[in-house]
Amino acid sequence: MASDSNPDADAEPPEPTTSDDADRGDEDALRRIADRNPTRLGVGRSGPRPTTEALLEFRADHGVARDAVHSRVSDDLLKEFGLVRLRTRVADTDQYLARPDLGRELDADSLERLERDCEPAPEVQLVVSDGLSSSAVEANVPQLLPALLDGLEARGISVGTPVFVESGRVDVMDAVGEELEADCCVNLIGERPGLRTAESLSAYLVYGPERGSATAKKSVVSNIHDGGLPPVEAGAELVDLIAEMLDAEASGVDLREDDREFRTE
Amino acid sequence: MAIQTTTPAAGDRFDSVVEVLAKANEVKTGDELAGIAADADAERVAAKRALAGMRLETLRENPVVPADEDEVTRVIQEAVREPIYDEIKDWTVADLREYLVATGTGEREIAAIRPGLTSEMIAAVTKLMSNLDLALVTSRMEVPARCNTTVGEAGTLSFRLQPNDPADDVSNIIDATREGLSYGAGDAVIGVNPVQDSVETTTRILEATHEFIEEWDVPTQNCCLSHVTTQMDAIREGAPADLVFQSLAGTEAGNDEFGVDVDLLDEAHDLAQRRCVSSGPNVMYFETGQGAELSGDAHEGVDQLTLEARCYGLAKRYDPFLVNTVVGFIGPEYLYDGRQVIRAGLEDVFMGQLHGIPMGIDACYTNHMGADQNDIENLAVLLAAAGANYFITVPMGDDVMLNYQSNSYHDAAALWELFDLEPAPAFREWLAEMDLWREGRLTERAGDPTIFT
Amino acid sequence: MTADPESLTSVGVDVGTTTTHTIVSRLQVETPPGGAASPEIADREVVFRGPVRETPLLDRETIDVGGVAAFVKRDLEAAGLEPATVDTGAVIVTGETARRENAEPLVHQVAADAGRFVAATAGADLEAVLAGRGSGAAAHAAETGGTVANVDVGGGTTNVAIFEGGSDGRKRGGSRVRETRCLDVGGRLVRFDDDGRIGSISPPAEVLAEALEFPIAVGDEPDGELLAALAEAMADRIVDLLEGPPFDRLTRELAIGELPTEPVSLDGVVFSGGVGLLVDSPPADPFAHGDLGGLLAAALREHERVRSWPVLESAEDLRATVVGAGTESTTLSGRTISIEPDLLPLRNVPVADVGDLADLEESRLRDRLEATVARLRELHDLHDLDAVALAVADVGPLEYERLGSVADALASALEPLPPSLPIVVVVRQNCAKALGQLLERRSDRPLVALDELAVQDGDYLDVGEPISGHDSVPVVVKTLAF
Repeated sequence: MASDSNPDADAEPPEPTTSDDADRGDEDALRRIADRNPTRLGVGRSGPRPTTEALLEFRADHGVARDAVHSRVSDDLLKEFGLVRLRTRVADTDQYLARPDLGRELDADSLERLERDCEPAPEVQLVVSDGLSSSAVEANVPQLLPALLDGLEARGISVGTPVFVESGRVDVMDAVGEELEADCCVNLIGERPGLRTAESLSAYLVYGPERGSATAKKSVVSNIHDGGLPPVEAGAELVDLIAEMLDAEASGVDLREDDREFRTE
Repeated sequence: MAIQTTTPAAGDRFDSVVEVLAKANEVKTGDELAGIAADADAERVAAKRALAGMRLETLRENPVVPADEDEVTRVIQEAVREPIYDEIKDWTVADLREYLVATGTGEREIAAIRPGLTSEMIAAVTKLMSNLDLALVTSRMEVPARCNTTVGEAGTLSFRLQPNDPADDVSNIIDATREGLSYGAGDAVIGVNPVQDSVETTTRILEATHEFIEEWDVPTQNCCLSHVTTQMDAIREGAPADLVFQSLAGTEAGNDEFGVDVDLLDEAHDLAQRRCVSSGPNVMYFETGQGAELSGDAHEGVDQLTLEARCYGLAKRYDPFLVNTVVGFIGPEYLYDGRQVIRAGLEDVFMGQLHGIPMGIDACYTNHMGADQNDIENLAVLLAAAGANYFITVPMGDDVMLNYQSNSYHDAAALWELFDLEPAPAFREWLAEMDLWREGRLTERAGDPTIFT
Repeated sequence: MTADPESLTSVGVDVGTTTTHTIVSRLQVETPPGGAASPEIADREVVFRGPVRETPLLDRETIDVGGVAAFVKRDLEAAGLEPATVDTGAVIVTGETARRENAEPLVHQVAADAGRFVAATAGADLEAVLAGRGSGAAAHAAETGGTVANVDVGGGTTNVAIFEGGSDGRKRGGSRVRETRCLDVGGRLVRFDDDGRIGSISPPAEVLAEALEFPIAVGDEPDGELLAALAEAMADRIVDLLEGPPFDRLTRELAIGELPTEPVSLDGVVFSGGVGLLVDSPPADPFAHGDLGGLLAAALREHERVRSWPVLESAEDLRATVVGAGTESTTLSGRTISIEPDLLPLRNVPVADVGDLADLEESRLRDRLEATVARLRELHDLHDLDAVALAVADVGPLEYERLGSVADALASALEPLPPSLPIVVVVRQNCAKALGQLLERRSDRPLVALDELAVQDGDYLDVGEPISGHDSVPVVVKTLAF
C-alpha cells in the first residue's frame, strides 16, 4: 500500500503510483484491517499526503454532514404526520449554532399556536426537532413515528398533538411540555452529524417537563439510524420506555440509576 | 474600580479588570453567549487600549476570581516568585508585549521573567498581540519535557497518536496504532479516549497499548484518557500507565464540574510519580479548551481566553509532560468558525509556553462549525512554524469515536518536510531501525500497518 | 449505561467415549458503548477444571448414569458452586458414547443436576465446533482472518470444524464455522485387556480391518506391525477427511453425516482431543492407554501429508470440547426484544426456518409461513414441547409497514397451533421488539421475539431468563437435542 513517488529521490521519471504492489503478501491483511475497523485505516498515501480517493471520500462525507446541519426539514414530512410547525427564538441557522439558549424557548407565535392548535394535558407530548441534523429527522421519523404512535395507542396511552420545532435544542421539550402540561414529553432530535453518518437521531424523554430542569432528569435513546438502532425498533423501544416512565412517574436517573449517558447535542 | 484608558474618550470607561479583559478579547462567540463581549470593534479597541496601559501589578492584585473564593486563583498566586514579580510589576501590558517581541528576546530572556507572571498577565498580553506576534514569540520559546521520550526540543515536532474506537475494541485500537506508527506518528503519546469510563476498560486499553509498545520496543508512552479517578484505580490495581490524564478548567467551579479539585490532582500527581511505569520525571497529561467553563456554567463572568490561561497556571503545578488545548471541539457557540479556531489555537499555545508548560494542540473542528480540514491544516502550518511541541493525529483526520476531525497521521511527515523538523530523537532512531524513516523522509515501507503484524 | 460488568457462571460437562470432565467458567457480559449496541460475551475465563476421569460404563453399551452424575456433583462441590447459582452451560455426550442407549437420560439428568439453565446436547457437528472454539482454532481464524481447521481426534470419533475469520470488526473474536466433517475414527476403536490381548474392536475398526484384509480378532495377541498398519490406515482416513473431496470410498463409509462437496484451502490446522494432543509428542509406550491412541497419534505425526500442513499449537489440553461446552455454547440475544418473562426458561425448542422473506411479496408471505408451521406440526409432537420457534433470516426492509405485513401473515399462519403453545420468533435483523409488539396486537398466544441471533432449521434452542442488569436473554443453540 505504501508508496513514495518522490521525484527527487531518483532520476527515473516519476510514476504517479498511489498504491504499491511490492508487498502483495500483506494486501489481504491490510484489507482485513481496513474492513474490520470503523476508522479510516489503510487509506494509503502518495509521499506524505493521502491518496486522492481517500481525500475526496473524506470531503464528500464532510459535505454530507454540513448539509445535514444547514438544510431544513421538508413540509411534506410535517404534512404526512400532521406535525404542527413551531419555531424557537432563533433567527437563522447561524444564530442557532451560536446561541443554544435561544433554541430552548419558543417564539411568541409558536406559544400562541401551541395554545390554539394543540391538545392540552396529554399523557405524552411528542416533539420532533431538527437539532443539528435535519437529515436525521427525514431519515428516521417516517419509520419511527408510526411504530411509536400505534404502540402507545395499543396500550391506551393518550398522545397529544405532535409538533415540529424548527431550530430546536433538546431542552425545548421542557418549554413545550410545560406549556401543554403534559405528563411526559419526548423529543426526537437530530444528533450532531459525524462523518460516518449524518442521520443519527436521539430520543430524549422526560417525566413532568419543566423549564430549566436538570439534564439528568431526562432519559435518552441515542444512535437511532439504519446502521445503529433501526428507527422502527427504536419506536417500539420508546413505547416500552414511556410506559415504564408513566408507571414509575419518573425519568432519567430517577428512573434508572445507570442512565447517565448523555451525548453532546 | 473605574479603569480608564491612557487616552480617555467617550465610552472608554470600564468598571473592572474582568470587564476590560473580556472586552479586549478578539471576537469569540463564547464571550457573546456569556454576554460579556465588546458590543462593537470600537469598544473592543478601547478595551485593548485600557489593557495596554494597565500595570502588571493591577492584574496581580485583581485576579478575575477572588483568591478566597477560588483555589485555582490561589495556586496561581502562590506560584509567583516575588523578587522577579517585584522587578516587573510596574510594567504595563504594552511593555510586556514589546519585551516579548523585541529583537534579542529569546527563551533565556523569557525564562527570566516567567516566574513573575500570573495567568491574568499572560492572558492580558495575549489580547494585545496579533496572530503573527503570537507565532513569533511562541517560536522563541523552548519548553521541553521528558517522560520516556523528550518532546519540545528545538528542531523537533512530535505527534500524539489517537487510535480511538467507538466500541473500545482493543484490536481496533491496536490496528489504528499500527497505522499511525507506520506514518511516524506517536512519539508524544499513544493516547486513547475510551467511550466507557470504567476501570476495566481503562485497564484493558492500558495493557494492550503497553504490551504493543513493549513488543515493538517503541520509544513512547501510553495513556488512557478516562477520568483521573478511574485511571488512579486502574493504576492501583496494577494497570501499566506511562502518564496520568485529566481535563482541566480555569475555575474551581469548572473543575468541580469535571469532578476534580487541587487535592485530588495533587494525589493523582503523587500516585503517578510513584506508580507510572514510565521513567519520567514528567508524568502528567492535561487537556483544556476555551469555553469549557461556560459550557459547565462555571465561568464566573470571566472571558474564555483568561480562563484558558488559568488552566495553564494550574497545570504548571504538576510539571506536566503534555498539555494541549482541544481547540475546536467544543462547538460554534464558543468558537464559531475557522477564523476563531485559528486565533484561539495560536493564543492557547502561546499562553501555555509563556507559562512554561510544554504545550501542544489538538487542531480540530466539529461538523456544526464553520470550519473544514483546510482551516486546521492552516492552523497546523502556523503552529508548526511557531514551534508547538506536538499535534494530535487520527486516522485520515476522522475520529469516529469523538465524532470530530483533527489532523491526519499523514500531516506529520508533511509538516516535518515543510519546516525541516524531525520526530523526537529516540523515536526517530526507532523509525530508522524499523526502516520507516531515512534522510528526513518516510521510506517506501511507511503507511502500511501490516508491518507491525 | 452501566460500567459494571456482569458475569454469568457457566458449567461445561463432556461425557466422552474415554473420559468425562467438568469445567466451570465465568462469562463476562458487556454492552459495547455506542447507545444502540446489544450486550455480548466479552471475555471467557475458565475458573475451575475438574480432573479428567474415565467415563464409567456399566457394560460396553451402557453408561453408568449414577456414576457420571456423582462425578459432576463432586466437581461442582470442589469448585464451591451451588447448582442454583449456575447461570448457563452445556452437558455434551461425545464420540461413540453419544450413540449409546442411555445417552439421552444421562445428559438430561446431569444437566438438571448442574443448574437450572444447563443445556443437554450431543452430536458430532456440535462437538466439532465446540472443540474448535475450545482449542483456540476459532480465535486464531478470527485474529488472522484465515481459514483454520480444528481436528479433534478422540477415543471414538474424529471431528473437524473449519473456521473462517471474518471482517466483521464489531463482533469480538469474529469467526464463523464454514463446515464440519466427522468420522468414526478414534484411539479407542481397538482396546487391549490387562494381558495385552485385543479386548474389543469397535465396528468402524472392523470395517477398516476387513477392507484392508488385516486379520485381527478379539483375544488375539497383538502384532505390533499389524497394529501400526491399522493406525496408519486410520491416519490416512483423517488426512483424506481434511484434504478431500474427492474422498476415498472408505472415508465415505466411515463418515458421520454429510461430507462437503468442495475442498478447502487451509491456513492452519490445530489438533485437539485425547489423541490429537499426542500428535505433537506421542507417548514412549504407545500402549500406555490400553488402546490404539498412541499409535494413531504417531501415525499422524509421521504422515507425509500432515508434515506439510501448517500445524498450529492448541491453546488447550485435551479439554478442548469441555472448554468449548462451558464457555462457547451460550450466546446472547439482542437488547431490544419482546418477551413475557413468565414463559422463560424454555428448553429444547425446535426451530423451523422460514428462510429469507426479503424478496417475498406481501401476498406470498402467508403461504411461506403456513408451510413452515405445517412442517413443525409434522415433525414434532407439539404436546411434549415447551415451545416452537420460527426463524426468519431476513424480513426485508426494516420498515413499519413491512413488519406489519409479516406480523399479519405470522398471526394467521400460527392459528393451527395449540393456542397455549408459546411461540418463539427469532430474527437476525434488529427488529424483535417492533415485530413482537405488532404480533402482540394480532395474537393472544404466548410470545417471545428474539433478534440478532442466527439459527438454522432443525436446531433446538434453550432460552434463559433475562440476565441481570441487561435486557438480553442467554440462548444455547443446539444442533441436536434429545
